[in-house]
Amino acid sequence: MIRVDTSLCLGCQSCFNVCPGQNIIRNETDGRITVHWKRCKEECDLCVKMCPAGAITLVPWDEIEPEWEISFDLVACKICGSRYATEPMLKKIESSLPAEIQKDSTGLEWIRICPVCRRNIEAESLAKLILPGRRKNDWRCSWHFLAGKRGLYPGRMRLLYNLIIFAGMRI
Amino acid sequence: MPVYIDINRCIGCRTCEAACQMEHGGRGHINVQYVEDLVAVPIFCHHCDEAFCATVCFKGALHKEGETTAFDAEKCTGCGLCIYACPFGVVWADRTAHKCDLCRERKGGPACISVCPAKALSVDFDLEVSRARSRAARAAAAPRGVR
Repeated sequence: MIRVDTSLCLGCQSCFNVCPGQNIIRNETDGRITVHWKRCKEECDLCVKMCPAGAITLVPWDEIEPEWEISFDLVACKICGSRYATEPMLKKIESSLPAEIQKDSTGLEWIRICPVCRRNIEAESLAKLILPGRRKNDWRCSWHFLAGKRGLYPGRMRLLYNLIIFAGMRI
Repeated sequence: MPVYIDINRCIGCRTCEAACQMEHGGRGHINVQYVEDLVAVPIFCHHCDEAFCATVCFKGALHKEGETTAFDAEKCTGCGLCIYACPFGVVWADRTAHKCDLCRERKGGPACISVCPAKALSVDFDLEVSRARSRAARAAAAPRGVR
């Protein structure tokens, strides 16, 4: 039978993934994760071996032993606010990585940011070098947008002139 | 031997995404991000020297193997610690973790490189550097005020 140390459990997906008998159920509903361990008579110890925190122990079969259930509130991303990971998992990562690397050059704690926002930040920092040049060359960002791609040629001038007169008539 | 990306050349067609998904049975490892609709940047595993995913992995499924960060699917429990330890957010998991393996089983190198129509991806670092240099030289030599 499984016994779970609720203070050690990370709320990760290990035991749920590894269990061959569907005895561990994990529900994820709007920013909250619930892990439910059923009473299990199997003789396997896969979940015990695979637990990253060592929270699961096997005890002899006992009728009094309750079914274990833990629920976690997911941590919200600092940028987009979507809920993405449990607090103990992030704590575990923070404790296993060196402290000086957990804040990037802008003082951002990247561990508290969801993977989607991390990708966005990485893309923006890589694009920073060539973005001004692209903006300059983009005709939508320049006066060419008004003047047309080929400049203020006569036909374009007449069009603009007609537009102004049309706007004046409307007023 | 990680894959290098020349974002000046990238046209944002997402062919690399599709090729990666075809190579890995629908589970791709490349994301093409768009910045202000002007620049496209494919984001994928950097194979970091000091790989945090490998540091965090308690089973040793993710480990350093020479220059690459290798992944052993048989050891993986799918706990998901590596997802949140990756500073670039390129590792993801369903049952097992999924991450760039540089197409080890494929003949002729990574699929993303061979399909890229703009030749923005390559494994050759010196080639990327020489391209960037020649591009800078051309920009400096071009007459001013001409678009």
